[in-house]
Amino acid sequence: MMNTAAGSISDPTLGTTDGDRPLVEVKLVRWHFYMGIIFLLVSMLAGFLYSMQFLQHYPLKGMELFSPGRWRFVHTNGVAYGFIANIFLGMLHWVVPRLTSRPAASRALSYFIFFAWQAILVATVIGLLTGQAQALEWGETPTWVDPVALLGLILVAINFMTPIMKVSGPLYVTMWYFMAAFVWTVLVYAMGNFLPEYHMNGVAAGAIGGLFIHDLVGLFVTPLGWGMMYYFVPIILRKPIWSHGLSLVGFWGLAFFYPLNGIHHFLYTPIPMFLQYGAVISTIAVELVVTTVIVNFFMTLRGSGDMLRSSVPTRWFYTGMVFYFTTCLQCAFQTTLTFQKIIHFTDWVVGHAHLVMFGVFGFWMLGMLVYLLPRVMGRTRWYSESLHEWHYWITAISMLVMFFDLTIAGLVQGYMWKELASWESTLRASTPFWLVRTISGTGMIFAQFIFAYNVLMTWLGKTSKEPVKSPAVEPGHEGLATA
Amino acid sequence: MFNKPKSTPAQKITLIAFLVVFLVPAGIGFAIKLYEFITVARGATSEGTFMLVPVLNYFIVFMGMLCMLAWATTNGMFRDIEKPKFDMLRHEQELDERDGKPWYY
Repeated sequence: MMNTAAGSISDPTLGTTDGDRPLVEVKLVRWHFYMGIIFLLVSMLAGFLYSMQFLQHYPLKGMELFSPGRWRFVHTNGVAYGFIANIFLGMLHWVVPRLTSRPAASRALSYFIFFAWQAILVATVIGLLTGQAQALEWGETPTWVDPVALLGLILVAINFMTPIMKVSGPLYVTMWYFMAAFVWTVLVYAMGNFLPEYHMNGVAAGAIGGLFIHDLVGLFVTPLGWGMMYYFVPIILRKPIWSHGLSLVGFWGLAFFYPLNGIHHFLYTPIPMFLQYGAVISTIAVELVVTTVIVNFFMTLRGSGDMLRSSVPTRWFYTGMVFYFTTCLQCAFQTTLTFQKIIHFTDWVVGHAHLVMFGVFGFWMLGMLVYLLPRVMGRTRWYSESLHEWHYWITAISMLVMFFDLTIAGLVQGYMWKELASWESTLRASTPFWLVRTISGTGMIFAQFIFAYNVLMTWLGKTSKEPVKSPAVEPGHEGLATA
Repeated sequence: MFNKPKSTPAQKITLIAFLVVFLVPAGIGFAIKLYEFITVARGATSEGTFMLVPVLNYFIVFMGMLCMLAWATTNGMFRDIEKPKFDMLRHEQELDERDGKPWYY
């Protein structure tokens, strides 16, 4: 018997008890990552197309199939269910078996989920472009896709919960987050896609919509993202997380305070004020919980700061954490009624959303991909290290420019609306900001194509002529870093 | 290499500080809102009875997590609370060494 992070396992060779079946289905990890990158590129291009409409230079005018509003749905749904979900699924196929020393429940089910999920995504894109979107933010997926997608999420939960549930002993924090995410995601998806569609209307349906869009971030993306960070950061830094107890405070805080946040999307609406105030309080409580996570990760980094320079994945992770703290701090203020008077319906919210979804979770995923992709492709190194530098810096600078641009745009719009300026004059004032948004977005897209090129060349086994850098390792761990 | 299961005083103080200073006041705020919710549900005021279903959604999740917390506590999930982080790293290292794979970066 030996103890693992997951508790006690019976096989000291770390193998599985399922014949010759490999612990990690590496091919699936790879496939999910490839599809995630493809959907990232597609959804970003859709966002670029949509942004051109704001500049009155939309290139596909007069074609209903490609009307800008529909591309907007492809942009948001493509990011959420194409990019983020695919990358998370690939990550889960790597992390869960390694943490539990057990493979996913079924190999056949794993492959079925992969193909079914891609079919759901293609069906969603076709449905959105042919005008079958539902009028629910983040829940625009056509009604006929919803039950299939929910079934897919249930299968994912079964596939990964099975090995986790077999673990005995205290669980590592990553597994807490993953378990909760599997259950929450199914509940949240069902709540958001079925209750407003079939059972509720009016303000109550609006409140459910608010819960859905925020819980999709907080109970699907956040627990999987934090769980992922609690796994990869200690591994890359070669040292344990600073305080496992504090990480559990973060988990249980998220569990109890997050679910009521969503109504803060509908402040100043006919929703009863006690609920609006409740949402504001719980949002501020979550920001305090977030602080525990940030403190934990930065205390873990203490003494290894040089890794920020030498390790690209570490840089992605910690840049994402700085953005995370920024966006959560912003959230604590912007959900108050005072801030909402100015920023509601403005581009401030768009800037905030981009910083959260791409600046935080996107950055964490890119860092994870930089670390893991060569391994799952069977390569010992990337095609080009310098392309990673270009990818990081162009993305980070573009992200910052877009965030500040949209934040300032939101303030300009909000104050102009408050002063009852004419709609046309607010549009004229907004146009320069929208131009900067398109330019910075172009930078972000360009950087992702650089990354995709690096992935392709690495996959093809090409090697660039640039000198190979030594991997950054901590003293005493040199032996582990040699290829 | 990763066998250091004792918490440092700084870790303990930070943990307790976050528990007491942040989570307790936040919990009290929630309790007040819960009281208001029950007041609405019992019909003392007509405001917002149509919102019971959305809020009940939250409480269903809340109760699930409460049950999970009780289960975790009674099953010793929080005993030796720092141990899993060392086990996880040691286990990862063993997996990598077994596969003969390097730790990139």
